[in-house]
Amino acid sequence: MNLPQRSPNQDLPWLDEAVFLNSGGQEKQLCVKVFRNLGILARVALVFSRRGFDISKLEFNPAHEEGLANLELSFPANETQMEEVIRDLRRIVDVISITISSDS
Amino acid sequence: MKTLTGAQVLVKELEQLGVTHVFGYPGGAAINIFDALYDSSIKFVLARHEQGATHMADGFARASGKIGVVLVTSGPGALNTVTGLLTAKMDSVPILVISGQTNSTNLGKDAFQEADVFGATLPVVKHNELVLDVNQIPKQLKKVYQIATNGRPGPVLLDIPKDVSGAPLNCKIKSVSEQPPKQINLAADQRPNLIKMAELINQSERPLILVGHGAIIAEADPEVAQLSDLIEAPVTNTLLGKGCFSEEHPHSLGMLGMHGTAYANYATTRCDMILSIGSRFDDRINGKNDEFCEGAKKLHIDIDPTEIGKVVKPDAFICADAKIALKHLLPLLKPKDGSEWLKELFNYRERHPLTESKQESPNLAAYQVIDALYSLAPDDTIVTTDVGQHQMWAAQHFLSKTHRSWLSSGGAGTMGFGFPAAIGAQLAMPNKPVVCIVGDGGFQMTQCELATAAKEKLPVKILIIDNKYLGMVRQWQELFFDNRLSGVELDDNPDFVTLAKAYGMKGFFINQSEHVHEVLSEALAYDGPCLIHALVALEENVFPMIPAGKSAKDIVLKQPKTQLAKPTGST
Ligand SMILES: Cc1cc2nc3c(=O)[nH]c(=O)nc-3n(C[C@H](O)[C@H](O)[C@H](O)COP(=O)(O)OP(=O)(O)OC[C@H]3O[C@@H](n4cnc5c(N)ncnc54)[C@H](O)[C@@H]3O)c2cc1C
Ligand SMILES: Cc1ncc(C[n+]2csc(CCOP(=O)(O)OP(=O)(O)O)c2C)c(N)n1
Ligand SMILES: [Mg+2]
Repeated sequence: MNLPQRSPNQDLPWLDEAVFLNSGGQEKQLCVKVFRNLGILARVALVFSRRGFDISKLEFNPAHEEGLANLELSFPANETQMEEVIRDLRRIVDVISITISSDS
Repeated sequence: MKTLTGAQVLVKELEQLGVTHVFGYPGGAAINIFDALYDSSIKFVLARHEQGATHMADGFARASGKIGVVLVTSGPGALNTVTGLLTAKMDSVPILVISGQTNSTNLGKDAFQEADVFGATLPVVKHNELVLDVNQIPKQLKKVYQIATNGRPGPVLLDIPKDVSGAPLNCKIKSVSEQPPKQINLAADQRPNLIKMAELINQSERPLILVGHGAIIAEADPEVAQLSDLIEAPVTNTLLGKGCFSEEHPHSLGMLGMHGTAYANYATTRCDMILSIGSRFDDRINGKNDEFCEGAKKLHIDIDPTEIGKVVKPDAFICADAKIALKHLLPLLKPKDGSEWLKELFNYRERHPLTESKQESPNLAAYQVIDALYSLAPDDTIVTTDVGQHQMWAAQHFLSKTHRSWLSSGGAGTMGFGFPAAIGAQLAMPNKPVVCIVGDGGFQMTQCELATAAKEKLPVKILIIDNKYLGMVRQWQELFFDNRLSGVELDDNPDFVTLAKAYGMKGFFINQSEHVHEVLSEALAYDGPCLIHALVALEENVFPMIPAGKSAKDIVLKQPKTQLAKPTGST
C-alpha cells in the first residue's frame, strides 16, 4: 500500500524540536542481563523516563543462554544518578544481573 | 483429565491458592472468568466502582496478611484499578488484579474497550503479565502470586484476553499448592552485618527504635517488644508501623515525622543510635536528610536490598525479613539501663503533650471525637482512615495496640481509600469491629460503596469528620499561602445521615461535645453498617507540624502567630 508519509507535526514545525533531556554527568555504560519476557524493554526504559534521564545508546542482544538477553545501555549520569538507575533496575523482576562496563 | 476452559482453570487455581474472596466488576472481556466463578466456592463481592474494589482487596490484604484479589473487565474497567494499584505499591501490599482483555487477535487495533493495560500499569505494579497462551495460565498465575507475596510484597496484574480465557485447556489441578517453605535462617552473607549491628547497639547509650510497616509484614511484634524490653529503648513508629509495638506501652513515643509527636521527633535529635526495623525513611519522617538523627549511628533492617542506603546511609544494616533478623540479633545483645534516657523523654513529653496545641473552643474538635472513639472501641478494633487532617488526628489520638489493626494509605495518600478498605477488612475479619475514620472530602470519592456495605450487611462503622473543607490543603494555604483559600471549600456537602438512609443504613449526627460519648456508644453497639456524621470545628489545624523539607528541630508545636515560609519540600 502506498500511503502518504505525513508527520503528525507537519503543520506545527515548531513542535519538531526534541525537548533536550539533561541528566548531566559523564557517559556511563551498563550491561543488564534479563529474561526475554514481554515488556522488558519498556520496563527498563521507564527507569530512565520517570526521572527525566536520557538514554544515548541502547543495544538488545540475545544471550548465549536460552531465553535471556543482554541489554547494553549508555547514558549521561553522575554517580548518584547512576546509583539510582541501578537501584531501580534491580527492582525489575525480570532483571538477572547488572554490570558496570569497565570503560565508563 | 478433564477439559476445562482457561477461565475455569484460573478459578480452580485461585481456590487452590486459598483465595476466598474476589472483589470486582464485570464486563464482556472478563465474562468467561465470571462464568467460571459461578461454580466456585469463592465469594465474589460486587463493588460499585473498580477503584473501590481494588481498595477493598487492599484492606482485605492489610487486615489479614493474605493476598487480595480483584477481577475486572478490559479498558475502562482495568484502568479504574490504577489508583488502587499505586496505593498498594507505595505501601507494599500484596494484591492481584486480574483483568479481562480484548481478543488477542484484536490487540493493538483500538478494538472495543481495548486499552494497553499491561503498558499502562507498568509503573504502578511490582510485576505484571499478559497471557497469550491458555496453557500458560497456571504458570503465569503462580508466578505473579509468588511475586506479590514473597520478599517485599506488592501488587501484580494478570491481563487475560477473552479468547485465551475461553480456550480449552487440558490440565491437572494439583490438590496442594506448592508454596516455597518460609525462610527461617539468616543468609550467610548477612552474618558479619549482624555482628556489626549488635556491637553498635551494645555501645549506644541513647538508643531509639523506629518500627515501620515492614515489621508488621514480618509479624515481628514479639521480637520488637523483646528488644525494647532488653535494651530499655524507646520505640517510635511510622504512620504505617502503628500497632507493631503497642502505643500504650510506656516505652512508646507514638508516631514520628511531619505530624508525629513532639517527643518522638525530639528523641531523634537526642538519640545516639537509631534502629529502623522495616521503615523506608520516607520524607515524611526525614524531611532533611543531612540533619536526620545527626551524629547518631544509623542501623537499618529491611528485606529489600534496594531500600538499604536509598535515603539514609546506614552504619550497619541487615538485609532480611525483620522477624528473622531480630531473632538472630537478640541473643547478641546485652541488657541496658535506659532509665535516664527514658526519663529525659518522659519529662519532655510532660512539657509538650499532644494536646499542647489545642485551644479552648465552643466548637466540637475532631480530636475529641477520635479520643472518645478510642476510649469506647473494643481492644481488637480495626481502624481504617482516609487521607487528610482526620487521618493525622486519628494517627495521633487513636493509639494502636496490635498489628494489622491500623490501615491507612501512606505513600500514595489516596483519598477515597478508607471506606472501601474497611469493607475489605471486615470481610477478612468478620469477627472484629471495623471503624473507618474519613474526611468529608475523601469519603465522597468512594461513597458509592455504601451500596456494597449495605448489600453485604457488613457492620462497618463510618465516622465522617466533617469540617466542610479539604482541610489538609486549607491548612497549608492558611499557614504558608496567606490564607488565600483556593479550591478547598466543601460547603455544599450532602446531608450524610439522609444519604445513609437512602442506602437503608442507620445514620447518626453529632456536633456537640456533650453528646459524643452517647452517640458513639450507640453507633458502636449498632448491629449492622452505620454512619456517624460528626460536624466539627471548621478551621482547626493539625499540630505538631514539621514543614516539608525541614528537620525535627524546626517543629511547629502550635498555631504560629506569624506566616510561615513556604515549604521547600514537596507536598
Ligand atoms: C497526609 C499524610 C501525612 C503523613 N505524615 C506522616 C508522618 O507524620 N509520619 C509518618 O511516619 N508517616 C507519615 N505519612 C506516611 C508516609 O508518607 C509513609 O507512607 C510512611 O512513613 C511509610 O512508612 P513505612 O516506611 O513504615 O512503610 P512502607 O512505606 O510500607 O515501607 C515498608 C518498608 O518495609 C520493608 N519491608 C517489607 N517487608 C519486610 C519484611 N518482611 N521485613 C523487613 N522489612 C520489610 C519494605 O522493603 C519497605 O522498605 C503521611 C502520609 C500522608 C498521606
Ligand atoms: C485522590 C487525591 N486527590 C487529592 C489529594 C490531595 N489532598 C490531600 S489531603 C486533601 C484534603 C482532604 O480533605 P477531607 O477528605 O475533607 O479531609 P480533611 O483534611 O478535611 O480531614 C487533599 C485534597 C489526595 N491526597 N488524594
Ligand atoms: Mg474535610
